[in-house]
Amino acid sequence: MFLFRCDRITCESLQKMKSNLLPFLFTIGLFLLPAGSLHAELDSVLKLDVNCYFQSKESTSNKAFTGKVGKVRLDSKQLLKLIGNQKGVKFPKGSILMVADDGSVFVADSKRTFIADANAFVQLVFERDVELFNGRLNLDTGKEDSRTYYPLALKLKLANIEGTLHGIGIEKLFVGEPKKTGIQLTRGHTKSDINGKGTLNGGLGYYEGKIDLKGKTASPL
Amino acid sequence: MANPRNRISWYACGVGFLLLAGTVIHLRTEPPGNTHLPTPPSPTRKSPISNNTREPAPRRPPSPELQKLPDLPAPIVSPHPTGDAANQEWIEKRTDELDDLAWFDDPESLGKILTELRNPLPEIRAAALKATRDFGSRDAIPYLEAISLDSADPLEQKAIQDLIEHLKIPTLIEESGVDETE
Repeated sequence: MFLFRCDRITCESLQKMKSNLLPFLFTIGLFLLPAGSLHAELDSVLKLDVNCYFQSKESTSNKAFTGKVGKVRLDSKQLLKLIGNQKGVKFPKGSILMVADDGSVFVADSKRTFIADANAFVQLVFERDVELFNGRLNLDTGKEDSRTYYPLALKLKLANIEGTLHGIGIEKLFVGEPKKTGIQLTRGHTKSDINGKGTLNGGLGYYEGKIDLKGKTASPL
Repeated sequence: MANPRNRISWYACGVGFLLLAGTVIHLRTEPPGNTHLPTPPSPTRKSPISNNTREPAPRRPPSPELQKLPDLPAPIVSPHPTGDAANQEWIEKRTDELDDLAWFDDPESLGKILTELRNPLPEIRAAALKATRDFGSRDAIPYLEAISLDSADPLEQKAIQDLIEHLKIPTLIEESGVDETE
């Protein structure tokens, strides 16, 4: 509706608006702002469960060409070890991989305290600007109960594995009514099937599996 | 007046009928080769994974296979009644704890996860199965096999068998030859 009204704006009215261009652009920006960006900042535990297929053997004889495809599994704990190896550190027992709202990945201890940045090796890209929103968000209180669908990508860049895996994330988000203490509880859980192409030990690798992001926070308003 | 010959033939028929009836009753009460096994009970089982109620699924006693393995701690049972809101909160908290345990690598943590596969609550058993997958150790396989034998639910057995197959897949670290001790 807003865009329809913009089509009808004449040159004269545009000239009038020239002095007010910045507020005008700001208004458009507010209309295009996705609901997701109103969420409280929520760090989630990153669980990865993928299989990688690769060409393990191939040979040609006079009579036939033969090949064999190998399969290996990769999970978050292995990823943590690979990151540690590459950084030359051994993380404390019970360390976890976490992802921030902006997709940056970091290592935390079992109490969720930041230990090390892992962005150079693992990164998530959330395409929140093209999300589909199902549910209800109270603009006054921030209370929300929703399910959001958005494209996401997992980028791996380690010595033995490289690749980009894509999927559609389905996030279930619950933000409670603000409490009298001024604290608001947020609980989010995103699941996605992911797959993509990359390399394993320098050879071609196809990845397919699941990613799971789970987080909760009690934040002040 | 009845003929005496007819009367004798009527008596003969009666005696024959009684003998036949006696033989049939004898055969029915004591068939040849009967071992007197009690009729096996046919319990009406509900799937602990797919059911909507919170009734605990029937559990068999531990199998000899499980008893041969090193002892596991007892599962932690919810102090709240089923269907209670507090019970749901307890389940969520316990599920988070199992998720956290899956990040460790020690046998004690694996034991704490595996024992919950025998928890009376289906939600906890499902969470334990997920945590065992995340833990990713092949040391879990003997327990999973034994617990699968004990399970009364075919869906749960299938989920456990799928997990066993998953754990048998080599890890990327094994394939890459990365030194894990570094």
